[in-house]
Amino acid sequence: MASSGGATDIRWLDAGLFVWMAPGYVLLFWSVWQIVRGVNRKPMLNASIMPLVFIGLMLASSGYLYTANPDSPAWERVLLSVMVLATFATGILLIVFGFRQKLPRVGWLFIVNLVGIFLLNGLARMDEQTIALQWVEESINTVSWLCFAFAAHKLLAFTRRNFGVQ
Amino acid sequence: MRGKEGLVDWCIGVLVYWLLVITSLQSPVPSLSISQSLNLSISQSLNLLIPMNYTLPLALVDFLPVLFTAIGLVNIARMVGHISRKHGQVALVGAI
Repeated sequence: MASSGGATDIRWLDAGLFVWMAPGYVLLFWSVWQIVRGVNRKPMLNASIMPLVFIGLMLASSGYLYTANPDSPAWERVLLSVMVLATFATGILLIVFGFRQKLPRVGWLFIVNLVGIFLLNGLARMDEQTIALQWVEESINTVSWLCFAFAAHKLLAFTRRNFGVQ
Repeated sequence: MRGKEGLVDWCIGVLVYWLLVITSLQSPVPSLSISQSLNLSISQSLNLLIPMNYTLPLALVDFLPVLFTAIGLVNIARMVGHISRKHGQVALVGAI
């Protein structure tokens, strides 16, 4: 909203988006992967060492690319690629987890979320971004993430009933 | 039964927010065909094609996915925490 009014310069926030999002999604992916392993009675690996090492390497390589050639978008592409892969892998894990726990509705809601993400990717690449198209994109985005939020809500209720370390 | 009530609550929440957005609209969503039918000038029509020509209602709708993503990610982190507390803490850091 601040951007729509043009009142605040938030370009630095835009540039730093992937720097924050890529490590966040890596941590989330790792945690979800390990608990899926745990539920399938496989040993869970350490919660933080592996993802922190990976995040350190990722940020170091991205930082190196930025200092070597600040005009090239390569440093951002590294972070973006990791973020997309982590998001996609987390989505797949949650879909598989939902269906394996006999929660087909949850699985389908996560599938709708993933389909929405891919659909938006295609729409965002279109040359002419009219206001009408922006409304369509925002509507798809809203429905897609509403499905994600509701599926997560259902999954939380399920784990509360069936698992309980707290 | 609780699941159905939860779904109804979510739908009501989204509906109320959409109504707020719709009521904040000062004019209908423009499209090129509408502008052509109203015989607007070429420059006015081209204004509709300018990228990132954000309006307040669009910015309000743009906030909805952010809100849903935040709710979803925190719930996923809490779900992870119910199975393994340490992994749940890491997931929560990632979600934030």
